[in-house]
Amino acid sequence: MAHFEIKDLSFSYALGSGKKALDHINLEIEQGEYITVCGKSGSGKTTLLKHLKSVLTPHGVTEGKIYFEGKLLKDITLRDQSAKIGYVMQNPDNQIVTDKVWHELAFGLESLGMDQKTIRLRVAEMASYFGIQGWFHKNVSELSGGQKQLLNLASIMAMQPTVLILDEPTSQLDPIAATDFLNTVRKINLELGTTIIITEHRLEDIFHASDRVVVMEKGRIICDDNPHAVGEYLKETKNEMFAAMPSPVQIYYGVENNLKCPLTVREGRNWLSEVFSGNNPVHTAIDEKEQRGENIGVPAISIKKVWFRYEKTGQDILKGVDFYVSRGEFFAIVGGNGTGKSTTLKAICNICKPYRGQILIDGKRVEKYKSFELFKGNLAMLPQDPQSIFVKQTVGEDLAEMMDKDCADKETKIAEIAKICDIEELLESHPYDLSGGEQQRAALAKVLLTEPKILLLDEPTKGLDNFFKLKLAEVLKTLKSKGVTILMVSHDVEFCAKYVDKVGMFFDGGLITVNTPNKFFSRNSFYTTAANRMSRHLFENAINNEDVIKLCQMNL
Amino acid sequence: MQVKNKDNFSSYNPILNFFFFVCAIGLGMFFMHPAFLVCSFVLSLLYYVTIEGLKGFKFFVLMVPLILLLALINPLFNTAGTHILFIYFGRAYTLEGLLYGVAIAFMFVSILNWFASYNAVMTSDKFIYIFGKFLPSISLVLTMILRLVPNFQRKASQIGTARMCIGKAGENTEKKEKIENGMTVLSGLATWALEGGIITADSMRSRGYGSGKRTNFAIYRFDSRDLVLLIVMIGLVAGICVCGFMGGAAVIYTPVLEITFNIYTIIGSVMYFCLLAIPSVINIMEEIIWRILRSRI
Amino acid sequence: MSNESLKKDNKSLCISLVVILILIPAAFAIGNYLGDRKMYITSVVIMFLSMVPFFANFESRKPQARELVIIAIMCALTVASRAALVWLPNFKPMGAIVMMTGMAFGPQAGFLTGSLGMLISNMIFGQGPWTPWQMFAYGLIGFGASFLYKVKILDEKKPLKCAVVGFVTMVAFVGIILDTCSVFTMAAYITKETIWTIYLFGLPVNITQGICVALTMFFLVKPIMEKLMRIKIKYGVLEI
Repeated sequence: MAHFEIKDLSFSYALGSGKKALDHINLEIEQGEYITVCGKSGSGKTTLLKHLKSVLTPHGVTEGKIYFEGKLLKDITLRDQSAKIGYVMQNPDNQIVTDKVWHELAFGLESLGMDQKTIRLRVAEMASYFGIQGWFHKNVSELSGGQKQLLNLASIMAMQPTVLILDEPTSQLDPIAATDFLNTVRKINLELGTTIIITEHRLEDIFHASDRVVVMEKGRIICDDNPHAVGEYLKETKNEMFAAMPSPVQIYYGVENNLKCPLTVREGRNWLSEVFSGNNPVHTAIDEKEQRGENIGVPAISIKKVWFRYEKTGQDILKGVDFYVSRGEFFAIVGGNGTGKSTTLKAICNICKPYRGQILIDGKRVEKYKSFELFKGNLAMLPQDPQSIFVKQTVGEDLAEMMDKDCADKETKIAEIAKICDIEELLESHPYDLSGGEQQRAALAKVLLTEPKILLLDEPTKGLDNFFKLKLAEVLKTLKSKGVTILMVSHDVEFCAKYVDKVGMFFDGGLITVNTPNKFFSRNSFYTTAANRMSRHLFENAINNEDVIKLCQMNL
Repeated sequence: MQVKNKDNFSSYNPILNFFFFVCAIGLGMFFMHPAFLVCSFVLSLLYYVTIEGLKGFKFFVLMVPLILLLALINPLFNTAGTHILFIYFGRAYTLEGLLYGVAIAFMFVSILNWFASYNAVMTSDKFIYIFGKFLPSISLVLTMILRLVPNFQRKASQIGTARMCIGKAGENTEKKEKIENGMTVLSGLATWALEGGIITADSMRSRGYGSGKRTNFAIYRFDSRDLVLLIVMIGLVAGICVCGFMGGAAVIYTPVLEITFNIYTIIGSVMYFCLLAIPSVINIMEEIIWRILRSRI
Repeated sequence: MSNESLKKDNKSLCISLVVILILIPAAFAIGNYLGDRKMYITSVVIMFLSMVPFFANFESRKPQARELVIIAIMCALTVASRAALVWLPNFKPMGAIVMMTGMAFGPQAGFLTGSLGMLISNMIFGQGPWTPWQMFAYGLIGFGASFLYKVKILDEKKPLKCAVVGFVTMVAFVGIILDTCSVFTMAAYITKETIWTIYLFGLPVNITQGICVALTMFFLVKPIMEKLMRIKIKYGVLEI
């Protein structure tokens, strides 16, 4: 008996255009399987997952049947569904109900009406299994994003579900927390035999672990097979989703060979060695993008030995940060959480005021600018959470808010920016009804209406899937071509490797090294791209998938 | 250096903590008899000092002007009394009036002291534990609010920062702009909060909220030592009430000072002292035990 | 309305009747017997009793997750609203948010938001003898706002009128209740003189608060009501 059986499921939203969000879905999931569902934004992944639990099923017209453990899902009581089907959502914060960690762990069990003794035991068990003892008594607001999502997982596991559904659980986490989280999910699958159904943007961590990968497109399942077969299928059909595959898979299909497709970096490394069958390749380095002349004129941003702390007796957050960003450059700062990256951006905006050192914008000290001079046509920052920037009922109104009332070419300016950011069709929508990538671009449009010469971005790729990242990269390229200087803080190594001019590593309140992405990532051995990690034993400076493929082709 | 002592009375079941404060504050507002006032004042201060250390003394120092003010102002409003101290604008300032003022001032400061200790001891989760039993939905709402408040505060400052960085706000703007800007931030915060709430509601239902009978889990236990102390406290409160009812705490300040002093006054005030001393004694005893234990090592 | 919910309504109605007809008069009688020094305790008891029907009704109805979430959010907004106005110290828009909740979601939501909001606010900033009074006063303005909305005295299309109503409410109602608390706790004798003195001393504070609420109402009543209406549709909640 299958654990879940979906038969000919179709669905269209009540308030939609009548287009089918799900189109004749057939899927069987066995007990204990690890299933990855992938597809572009809007392909119907989330809609499909939400159908697997009655309380979450959206309003609309549903056809077809869903069976859970042999019974029709809608005939199973709410109580049984709550306990047996666990569902972890995207946003770590909003899923939490109560203010204490221990209470959150118990919330589901309370809802099921369990007695004090049982709850005590279950909560203790969960806290121990997930390593929560250390923060068991804490307030939820003191936790990091990764801890919050782990807490969500633990409080669902406390109800002892037989299946765990996760809808992009790591999209709001930094890479290290994301990997930790996904490893825990893997552990649950292996140790407890819980069925896992997961959607993710970052396939690197889960693709190889999946028993089956289900690829969705426009509400249909276009492929449902083991990871190897899925990679092959996507390549053969030249599907867009191929670009979301882990680096080893993409590189494999870019190089002619008859070997087995690698899924992880380790396999990729061995595969690459085998491709060259022990011989050292002749060409080991690719040509770098030629360096533009250094130091033309005054740098756009120049930070000189800046020290900062929030409180007089507190710890220093910035400890002598010192770097500059030339005009028209796309500069990225990478580094772990809490090292002071975002604080640096705030210092540049004169929100955090350093107690020592200087920040110069276009050669003038930042505190000498009047607020309207600094943020009109000069400097602007896109906040980490694009939602922070929306205050109106439609995107259009939000954009209009940026214009002076007596501005003559208001309409044309908005239209122009909307075109650059590719949000022309979204102007009438409510900002919160947009998808993550659309929100990001709408927010960027609002920021761009200040016509900045210097644009600061705080983790702009967070929560975006590959296609939206690509679109964002396009927008940023357009801006760069217009001479805008861009300073970005990011965790996204792959994105930085591909698009930026210079990368700096932030650690312990200071910028440790600055270099071109090519030199920067090829010199790191941990903090670098998957492509680089799998090829570094053969090639000197290949950091993107394309680099590795190109070098392979040159050598073979 | 501020020394924060550990409060051992807090480790008793919250029901006892709450019961104690309700009694201390309720009875404290009731008794105007000097003997009772002194008990309440001294012990409320002592307890606050055992919890907060030096900070407790500072709190008291801040209270002194308030005591003086309340004591001195009250006679202005009541001219009744036989001993006239002086006459101003044709009105009498009487000794009885002043004494009554002093009594009111001490009562008021004791109440503030008890509230100060209450705020240190009765953390929000204890309060919710007590009311969770008979007001389950309300107490759930309370925990939800307590989770949301820090979230909203953080978000409000994020929105403020975000707007500042697109030239929409700032410290150096005019008052009118500041208000309009603050309002926009508040409005943006409201949207963000309400939209996020939909997910919270889904998460609650997904975890079985509303699927049937709900229970209330608490990490607090009710041990035998809690039971013993509770019985003692109830006994003392009952005794004090009886003594009060028999007129042991009767006092009249104006127009003629009349302070009752009989057997009920003695029994009542001793019991009152014992009741109010419970938390301080627990704290001091525990301190002594630890000193002894440590000295044996 | 189904039979079951009728039954629940009857139960909470019974509780309300018991409280209003028996317990509150009883508290008055006892207070009278004890004399005027016990006014504080008596009035606090009466206030708690008058809140009982609201809480009892809410509990007996087994509210849905969405209703809990909305009330929690509105309360938290009330408490956190000051953080949104960091550049304006001492600007307290709390009353306005409570009133808007009453307008959008009905009397019960208004009452709960006002009273629980104040309870939490005091949990964070410190409880005192004023807590029950604040709970009572803000609960009632949330409650009252929903009725003023139904008879169109409060109307989001007329922000100026809302601002005036907000100002009057804060000065003439909330201010008076809170000053009465000071009278009962600090004054030795409850005479005309003490009452007038304390009310007069409280007036500047009350007027400032009234202005804050009026300004908030003026600027926000329209956008916030629009947002709340959108949420009502999105959550499928009409009235709490």
